[in-house]
Amino acid sequence: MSGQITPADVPLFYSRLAQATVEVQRKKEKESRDTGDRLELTDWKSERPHMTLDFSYSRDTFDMIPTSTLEHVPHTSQEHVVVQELLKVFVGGESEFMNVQSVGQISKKWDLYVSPTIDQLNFGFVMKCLPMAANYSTIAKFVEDSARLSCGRVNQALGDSMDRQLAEYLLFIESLEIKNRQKLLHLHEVWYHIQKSFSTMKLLSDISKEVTDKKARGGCTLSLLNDHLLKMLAPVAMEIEICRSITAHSAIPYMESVKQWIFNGMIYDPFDEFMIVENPKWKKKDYMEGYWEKMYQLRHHLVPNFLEDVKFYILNSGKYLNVIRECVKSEKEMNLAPIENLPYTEEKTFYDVILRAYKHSSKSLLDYMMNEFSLMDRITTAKKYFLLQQGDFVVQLLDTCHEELDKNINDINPSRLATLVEMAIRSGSSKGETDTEQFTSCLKPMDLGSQVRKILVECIPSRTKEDQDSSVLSESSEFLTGYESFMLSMTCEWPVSLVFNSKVQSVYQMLFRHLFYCKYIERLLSSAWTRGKELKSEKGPKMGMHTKGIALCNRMTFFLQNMEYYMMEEAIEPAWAEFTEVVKNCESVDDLMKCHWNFQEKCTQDCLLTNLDLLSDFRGILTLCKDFGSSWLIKDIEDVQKISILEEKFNENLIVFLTKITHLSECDSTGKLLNLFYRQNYNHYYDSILQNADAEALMDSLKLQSY
Amino acid sequence: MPCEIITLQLGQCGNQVGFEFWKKLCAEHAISSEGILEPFATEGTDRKDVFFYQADDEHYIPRAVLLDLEPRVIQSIKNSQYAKLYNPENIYLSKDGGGAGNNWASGYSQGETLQEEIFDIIEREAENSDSLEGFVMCHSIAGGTGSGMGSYLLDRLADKFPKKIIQTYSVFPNQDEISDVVVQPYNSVLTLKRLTKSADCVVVLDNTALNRIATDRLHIQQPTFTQINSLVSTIMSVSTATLRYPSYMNNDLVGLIAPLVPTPRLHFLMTGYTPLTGDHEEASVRKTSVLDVMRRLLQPKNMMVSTDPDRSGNHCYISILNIIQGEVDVTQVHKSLQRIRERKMVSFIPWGPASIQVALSRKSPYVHTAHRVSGLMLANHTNIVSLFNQVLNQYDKLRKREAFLEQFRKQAMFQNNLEELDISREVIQDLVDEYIAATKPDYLTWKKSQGDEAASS
Repeated sequence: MSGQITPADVPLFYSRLAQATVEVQRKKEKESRDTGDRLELTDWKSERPHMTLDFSYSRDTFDMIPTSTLEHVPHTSQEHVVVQELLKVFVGGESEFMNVQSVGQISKKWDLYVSPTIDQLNFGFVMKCLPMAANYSTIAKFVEDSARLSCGRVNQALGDSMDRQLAEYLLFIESLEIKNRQKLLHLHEVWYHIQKSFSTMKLLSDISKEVTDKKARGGCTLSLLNDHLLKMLAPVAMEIEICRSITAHSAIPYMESVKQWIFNGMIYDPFDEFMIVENPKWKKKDYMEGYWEKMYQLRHHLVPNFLEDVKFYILNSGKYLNVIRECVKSEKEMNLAPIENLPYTEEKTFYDVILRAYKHSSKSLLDYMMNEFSLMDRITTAKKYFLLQQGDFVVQLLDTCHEELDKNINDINPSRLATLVEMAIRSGSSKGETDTEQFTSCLKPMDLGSQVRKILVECIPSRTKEDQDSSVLSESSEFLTGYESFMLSMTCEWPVSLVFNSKVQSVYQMLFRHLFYCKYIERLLSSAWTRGKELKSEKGPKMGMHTKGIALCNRMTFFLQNMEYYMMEEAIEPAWAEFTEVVKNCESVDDLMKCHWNFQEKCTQDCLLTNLDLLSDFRGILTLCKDFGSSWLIKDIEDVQKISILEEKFNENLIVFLTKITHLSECDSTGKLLNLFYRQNYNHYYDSILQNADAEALMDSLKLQSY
Repeated sequence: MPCEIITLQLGQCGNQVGFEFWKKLCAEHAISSEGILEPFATEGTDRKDVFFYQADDEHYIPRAVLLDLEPRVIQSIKNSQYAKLYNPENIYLSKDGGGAGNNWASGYSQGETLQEEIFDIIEREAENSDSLEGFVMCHSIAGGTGSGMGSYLLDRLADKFPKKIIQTYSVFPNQDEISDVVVQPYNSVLTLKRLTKSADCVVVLDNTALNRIATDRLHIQQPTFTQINSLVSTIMSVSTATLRYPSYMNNDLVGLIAPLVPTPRLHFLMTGYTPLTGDHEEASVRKTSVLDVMRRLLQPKNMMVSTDPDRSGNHCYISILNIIQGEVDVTQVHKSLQRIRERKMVSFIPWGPASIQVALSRKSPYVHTAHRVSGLMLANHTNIVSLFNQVLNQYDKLRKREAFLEQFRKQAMFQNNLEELDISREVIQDLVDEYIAATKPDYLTWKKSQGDEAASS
């Protein structure tokens, strides 16, 4: 086409322009439809303004003040005309003599306009009656507005039930009209007759106003209705009845969604108004961390207040069902409970249904996990390995992995270590158990103290004292040996991974590292003892020279074995026994997880891990034991002096440790710490030493440390 | 698998005790007399590989070496239903077959001549294990083979396997009856020297006490060897229970022994076991609690070592380990310990920390017992010296008269002089002195002063 525009081209341009305009318009429409907010088929209200039940405000130049006059109507017939006009206005019709107009955008206030030409007496009655028309208008507007798809099912249902009330109202007005046509109706009679429906209309319009003002939808609307119902006073029986009926009616679609959720685990929420939402981040088949907490979430603002007390039951019922659904091959295996009706009642009879559904789904999931995935066996295995009950495994580990674990963390060959650990697990006495395969080794480049502090802050904030500055504990990870950083980790498949989430695992790992390190030190002391036993055939000075070392070895072994006995048999085992007892009464996986967590918490606390101060003292003593165990060679003459220094330090640290224990045990109701003290001082060996130690100075240093 | 233990059974007594021990272990691990796992056995509850290994055809074979110089007991084992249990290559019977004639010196010298063949077996067995932890030897100290050859083996084992633990279950002769072995005191003294110097831990099984327990407590008028040995096998099996049924603690031999033997020479342990009932009548009227068990274990009448009553009141425990089996509540254990401490029912050494250590062990699921709770005590008590003193007294009586020494003089070791006897006596006297010293607070420095003396003299 050339740059010249000839007149002949003009029509072509026109048609093109018209085409483009249509296209743009279509595109716009499509966009607005897709946004969901305007999920409407047609905006008939603007297209057909006069089809509304409400007053139609299509006339742009609507005169506020009625212009027509009644002056020409004789006084006697005026009343008839006024009633007729009034009745017209009552159902949204337009009148020349009177008119109601909402003020401002939000329809809270109404202005009443009545033609001044109306007789003074009638004028008063009309002014009294007109608010009825205002109420009607509010309701009618609400009914029409709430029919839109975007209002959600609850508001639609509410609109529907209001519409039904309006129908009755229309009948009533019609009956008045008939009377009027027979000229049997006086204005004051109208006033009298409408009294009854006036309060109803007031109620409905109040509700509509509130819903509109608060932009309430879904659960919010229901809360609002429920509030209204509760606020009603008994004497106005009819209104209560109406309010109850519209509430019940509006609740139907919502309760339907609840039903779908608690009995089938499905979210039916086409208009985004349900209290539970699926988190799109946790896509199905992607069972990563946090599924349990985050996959399905409550939207608290959309919970109807009559479901407030049971909202977690509702959430969990469906959540459990979904966990099962993720595992089974077909829906048939899900063993769903028969669906029960769930009507809204003021007496909250639906609570029972919800609780029944909850019980059923929690029980099914628990049974499912217990039976299909032998959950208790898993937990038992985890406890056996993480808490070192599988003693032969520990011995094997210390035996075969010593070479690797003794190295610096950076020099360890992880694949070699992994192979060795796998071997140790396989050759253990529990080789018959299949779930031992889930353990793998890993190295944590963080010293135990820092890990403990981190976990305490994250998981048990209530138990932590203010973050004490225990620099003794924080060693740079650069210098960590394999023994200090080694831990197991457990891989488990869905849905067992729900129970062994990373929080639970890291607590197990922390306990493992703590206990395993003790075992390692014990092993060092044992080898020192083995070296010492060769002295038995020695006579005289050589033997005498090493007496100190032998005695120290014994004292350290005694200390450590008693600590281990305390932690394992007196701390872990009773907590475990309690756990297995409590688990029997668990009704849901959440209960079980809570019990399991309690068990872990108890172990952590009783194994001194929550008291960083005491822990650092304990680790200090262990370090001395390590120094002794790895350096005491009976061949060395120089040993003697070194042993004396070690002994002195050991004494010092032990006294501090024991004193702190007695000090702490005063505020420990379980008395476990005191037991520990008695074990360490069973034959009163430390009595004199403890007495001799300057008690006051010690207490001072204790105080200093605790602040 | 780590922590394998090889059992060496020597002589008539050692093999009989060993035979009962293996019988018991088989029953506890549900292994049939032919080494096959019983069909009712369940996996994953125990560790069989500490004491057994599996042959290519999955049969369980004891890590046991059976040695004797005369065929009688070994033949009877070979004729029993357990004949197929043992590795036939591990049963060594001297070709001579004449025995040691209850003579320590003969046993010792035969051990010396046969050492190559014997150590072939032991070394093969040691290589067969991934990480051998030690040896357990069963023998008697009074006869010829168990004491003489046992002594030789102890010396050699300590040389060849210095890092391994050598534990013995040593049967001491019955003092109540007159022995037909006249040289018993010589044999005992000579063996005791090796037990002191070469063994790491000696569990003393005193026939005197065992017989008394059998007659007094089990109401057996004339206890047979089998009955006594079944008592011994109970002790042996329970004392190894924590190794075979792994749990939190005491899963290896060194962890079990090290706390019991604080100083290397004082390694003679007494044992006690309760409840001991021959029949079930007592069990039906009694409910055993942990406290009952722990208290009874401290009573001398339950001890498997007959010691003289402690008149001076100075003797004390160096260490105690109670292995408790059955349904045990940990809090009960603690309460019992507390009660025992409060009532001062037990006195301990003053020179170091000591307590009643408790090991809670599982029981075999296949062996039914009438008792809810049972306990074994392994105790290191200074009053063990009264047993040594008895031995020394009898020895001195014989030695003074120079009685029955001809048989010894025939052997190379004693041809020129009887120095070995005197040295052995001295070693035992030193041991007795050390035990006495261990009752005093200055024990740790006492050694030094003795050492100084030795150095200055």
